[in-house]
Amino acid sequence: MATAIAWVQVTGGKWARIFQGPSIHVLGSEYLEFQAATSSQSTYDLAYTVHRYSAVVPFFYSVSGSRLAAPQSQYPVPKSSVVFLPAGTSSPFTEFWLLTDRSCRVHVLV
Amino acid sequence: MDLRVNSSIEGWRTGVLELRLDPADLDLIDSVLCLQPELRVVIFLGQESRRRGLSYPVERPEQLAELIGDSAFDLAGHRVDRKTMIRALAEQWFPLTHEGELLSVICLALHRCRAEAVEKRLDAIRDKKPPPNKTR
Repeated sequence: MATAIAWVQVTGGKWARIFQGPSIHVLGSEYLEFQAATSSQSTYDLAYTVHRYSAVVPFFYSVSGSRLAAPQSQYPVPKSSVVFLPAGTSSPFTEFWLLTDRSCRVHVLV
Repeated sequence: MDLRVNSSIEGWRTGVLELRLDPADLDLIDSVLCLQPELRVVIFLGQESRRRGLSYPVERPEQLAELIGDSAFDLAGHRVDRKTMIRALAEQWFPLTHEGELLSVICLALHRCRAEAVEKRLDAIRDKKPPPNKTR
């Protein structure tokens, strides 16, 4: 077996649960990376809202903003395509939900 | 609290590996669930909520507690009754707009209870005073 980044396709205007599982980290940060929805698209702006639900305090928080979706050919993505999230404490179970105004693909690093 | 407009069971299932399952696979699913026993508790409570006719949206933890009534369950080390449900379900996880979100909050609550139980045990160990030094 080998493991690659599991990009998640997100449809604009619809909430998507993009991660569920333990969030164990030592750096105190979790982040999202955005790429364009298809390989033919170049960079574009998108607005996002992230909801993070956790089994430990804080049980919930929400972060909104805007970022650039990087072309799929570009990885690592530039900082303008990354959202750093306040991770708080490690949690045995978390869920990340994402709402964007345009379709894109995303992955979460916890 | 955001009402999760446009939240759907399809959105809840985003990114999961799609499988073609039929009734003949039920024993396989049952066996796989033995790998993550906590999910068996989630299934049990999901079945109960269907059996008792839970409708959505669910705005507050108390609605789930009312649904369970005077019933009490001991599920693989988890005590589930009206009182423990209200305590374990954080208000920030509500409202629930579909069954997927119900399954999520059950899972969150089970992990919360386990984490708090571990923390409590660790606190008890930390608070335990070391035995006094022996003197001759």
